[in-house]
Amino acid sequence: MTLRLGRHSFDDAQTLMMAIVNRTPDSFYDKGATWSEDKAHARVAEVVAQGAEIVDIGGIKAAPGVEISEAEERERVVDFVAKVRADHPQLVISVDTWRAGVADAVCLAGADVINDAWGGADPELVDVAAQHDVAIICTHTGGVQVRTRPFRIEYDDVMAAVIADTTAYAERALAAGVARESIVIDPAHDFGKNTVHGLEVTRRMAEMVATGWPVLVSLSNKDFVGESLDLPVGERLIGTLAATTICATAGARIYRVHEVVQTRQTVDMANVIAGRLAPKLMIRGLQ
Amino acid sequence: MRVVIAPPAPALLPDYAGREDPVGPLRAALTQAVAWLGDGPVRVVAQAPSEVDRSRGIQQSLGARIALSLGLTLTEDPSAPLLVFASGSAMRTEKAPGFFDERSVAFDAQLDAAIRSGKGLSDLDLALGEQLWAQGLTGLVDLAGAEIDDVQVDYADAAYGVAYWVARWQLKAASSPADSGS
Repeated sequence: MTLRLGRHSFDDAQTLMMAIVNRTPDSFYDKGATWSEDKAHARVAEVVAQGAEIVDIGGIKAAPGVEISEAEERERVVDFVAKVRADHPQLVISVDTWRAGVADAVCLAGADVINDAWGGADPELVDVAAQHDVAIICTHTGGVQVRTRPFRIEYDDVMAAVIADTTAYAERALAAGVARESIVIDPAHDFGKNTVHGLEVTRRMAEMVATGWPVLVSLSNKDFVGESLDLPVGERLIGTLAATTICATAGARIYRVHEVVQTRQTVDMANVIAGRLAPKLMIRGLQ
Repeated sequence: MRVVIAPPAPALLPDYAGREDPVGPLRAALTQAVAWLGDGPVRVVAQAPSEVDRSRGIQQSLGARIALSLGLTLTEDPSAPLLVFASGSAMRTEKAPGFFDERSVAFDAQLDAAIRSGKGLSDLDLALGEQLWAQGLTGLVDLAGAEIDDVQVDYADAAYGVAYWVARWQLKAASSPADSGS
């Protein structure tokens, strides 16, 4: 199915890089590297030059911490989105928020995608997506509260839970009026999941792809990678790319990443091996 | 009679199409040249791999496959336009399939002159050509003696260390090349 993200449409076979741009002073990976507005704009320009099709702009870090009011979140992202829209007309702009009010404001400012990392915590988010005809990312969190870490969470069958919750969310978005081609599902590694859960979701990614909804994966430098290799943030790229290969082979469509170039190469290589994508340029033995 | 000369390069086959075309100008030239052959069936002349070719791993003659991939209909009719598959040395650079052999430059220059004039084909040293990994030369030599009205060379380059030509020969009406066993 053609994927439509706000103003932009993509063919069936196309995979997309969604580069993370934090408007936060405290996110786990970059620790505020793009907190200042000029650095954040420079980061957008950098990932565009690296070939990212999407930027995912977030004003609140996922982990627990100082409470950020809706007004503060708007302050961090709305004008920023407007400037990115003006500077990069061809870029898909996603905003990572669970709040319908913030989503409404960023859509007015030019956002194409609402990335709801918290699994529909605000039930009005789907209405905002429908009203603005933008895309929505439907994630699985296991029902945990916004900005909480998983604690002793158990599933009878984690992949069954992921599929049940994300597809139910997708159907809810559809019923609210979001276009079918603008709904994406995301298992949300590390959200409401321990490492064993994250690994099983990765291993069984093909089941999620088989639902027919386009799948986004957000694997980049996460704890399930770090714990698998006992490596801290900053040393998880290779593990991230290995997990990326598995998801790409299974047919995931969108990759939410810190490292655009490396992930693009990994995803393309996996899809070339899988036979979904032709090699870029072949001449060896064919002269 | 119309004759087109083209290289039997596997890169021309759709089976090996990448997202970018490594032989775009060659393909464009060939497409135009075969259009010039007309709408009817075409007789393909493509040399079967020799023992030496086989020792290099060349097991199949690709001419018919390339012609079919271009949408041509094939025939054995000796009066049909000819599509002759041949290429020069494959030893033009150190990265060439056959590595570098300095004799390749002079050999390809002689072949180039013959293709551009239609003369001197019977002077080609076929044994040297085989050493230099040229292919399809007998198909060209079989055209020796044909009287040519006009030659147009659409493409001549040693891309990737292999000498390629796309050329059109308009033979005089009375001229009939020997049956070259397509």
